[in-house]
Amino acid sequence: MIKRRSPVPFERERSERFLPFVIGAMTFLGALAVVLLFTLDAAMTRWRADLRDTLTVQIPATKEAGGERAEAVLAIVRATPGVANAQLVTYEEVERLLEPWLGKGSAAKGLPIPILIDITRAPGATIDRAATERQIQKAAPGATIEDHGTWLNRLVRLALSIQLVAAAIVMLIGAAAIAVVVFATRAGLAVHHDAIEILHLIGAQDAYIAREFQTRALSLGLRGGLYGLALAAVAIAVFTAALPDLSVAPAFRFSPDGRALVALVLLPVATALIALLTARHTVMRALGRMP
Amino acid sequence: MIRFEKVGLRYGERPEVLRGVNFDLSAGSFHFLTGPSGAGKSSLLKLIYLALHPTEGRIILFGRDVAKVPRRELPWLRRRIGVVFQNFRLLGHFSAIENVALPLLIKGAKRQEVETHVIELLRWVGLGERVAAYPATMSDGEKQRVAIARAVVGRPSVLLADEPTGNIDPDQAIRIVHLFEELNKLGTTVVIATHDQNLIARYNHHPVLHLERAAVRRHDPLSPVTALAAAAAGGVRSHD
Ligand SMILES: Nc1ncnc2c1ncn2[C@@H]1O[C@H](COP(=O)(O)OP(=O)(O)O)[C@@H](O)[C@H]1O
Ligand SMILES: [Mg+2]
Repeated sequence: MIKRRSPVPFERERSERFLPFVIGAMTFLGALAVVLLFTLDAAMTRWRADLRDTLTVQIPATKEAGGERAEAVLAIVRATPGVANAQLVTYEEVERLLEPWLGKGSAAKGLPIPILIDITRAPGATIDRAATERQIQKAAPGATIEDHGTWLNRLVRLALSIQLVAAAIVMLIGAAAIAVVVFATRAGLAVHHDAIEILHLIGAQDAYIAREFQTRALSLGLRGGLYGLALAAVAIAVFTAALPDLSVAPAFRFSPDGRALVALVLLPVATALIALLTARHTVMRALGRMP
Repeated sequence: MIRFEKVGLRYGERPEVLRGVNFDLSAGSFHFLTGPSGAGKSSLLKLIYLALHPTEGRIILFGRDVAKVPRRELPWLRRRIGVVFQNFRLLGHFSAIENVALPLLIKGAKRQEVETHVIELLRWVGLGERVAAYPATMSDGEKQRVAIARAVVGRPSVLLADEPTGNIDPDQAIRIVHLFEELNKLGTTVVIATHDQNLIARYNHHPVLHLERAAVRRHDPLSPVTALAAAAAGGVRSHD
């Protein structure tokens, strides 16, 4: 006969039903930011692994065949300390690389295509890029050697700043969520003032009354978090499906690595916990002002 | 059991509601607290049930100076004081049995454990048939009895009632005072605030605390008529 229900009549109050939707929207944005963060992180790891130990020599195209010059440069490079491997990029490979831009066929045939040599650095070794460049320029004027490290560093810096922005967004959303829960809880305290006072006067401890509010906030927060996550999952699925058509670099595709999935699953849990703790703190403070 | 020492109370910057109030209510006593409307009866009860702090003086409950009790221990003091509030103050979304069980539930009792006891208590106040009724469907007399059952369910040593006969017909009122007397016989200290002089006259075997012009005068139950006459003359600041 004694039903299991809260002495604070939350169900009768409609004003706080907006909370799951607001928290849902926040979680959605937060999830996208988290995905961005981890996608970039994974991409950077891949770039580093792919590019850290490679350099490229570029010999400008000339009227006459470049075979001789290429052989000479290759010999110099192979003799340079720190070089583990150096390989001429074949004409077919260059053609394949250019294909997306120039189309299939032999469109590249008429173009002055530079000769490329891929260099792999020995692990842990350093190559004196400037000195090597001077050396190869004797054999092939205009030849340059490009260290991907510089380019990579710039890319990493860009990615890091995007990550920083994403992290800031996540924190901003967290702060906004706290503010929303504070306001909703304060509104709840005002609306349910009578029930709270009755509980207080018949000897309920502050923690008991706060528990009613924090349980409520936890459930609303969790619901909102799950709404947001579900929406984010749909959005990510749509993005992932749409990306290949936009032919954006594969690095920007969301590959659900373990950490990202864990972070995404933890997001609604974190939202619910933030709601719980915020509600508890707000209620305890308000009750502390009662005699 | 309940001692006021030079207790003063004011709300904000307004004039004092209570000034230099002294009295000592012994355990197991039964008092009426009376005085004209606005005299401060409700305020005095609130001081006892710890809804207000006095602006001056000391209140000693169960031998403890209330001002020195840490805030987190106050709930335990409140649980020893049952209050029948003016306007009942029942939870509208709780049935009679749930309202009455509440003081036990907040102490951590299990719902099934308390059910029998609560139903018994509702039967005692004459609401055996209304156990599952909601306040909105009850008469004021019924609500008052639910409020009384809630006030006593935790077996408090002190029972306070603020105008418990205010909104109900005389027959119901007599019934309710009778419940208080029964509890008093079981050892509960009772204080009933009322401005109803007929009620006090009817139960003139109980001492009366008369509140007027911010002070309290205690009247001997053996001479209620003179006491009331003295009170009507008014304005006499007094001690216990
Ligand atoms: N919360 C309050 N704030 C300000 N004044 C109050 C408050 N409660 C009561 N008062 C004032 O204190 C005086 C005593 O009120 P109260 O204790 O309710 O008297 P009674 O119960 O005897 O009618 C009245 O003048 C009333 O206006
Ligand atoms: Mg009153």
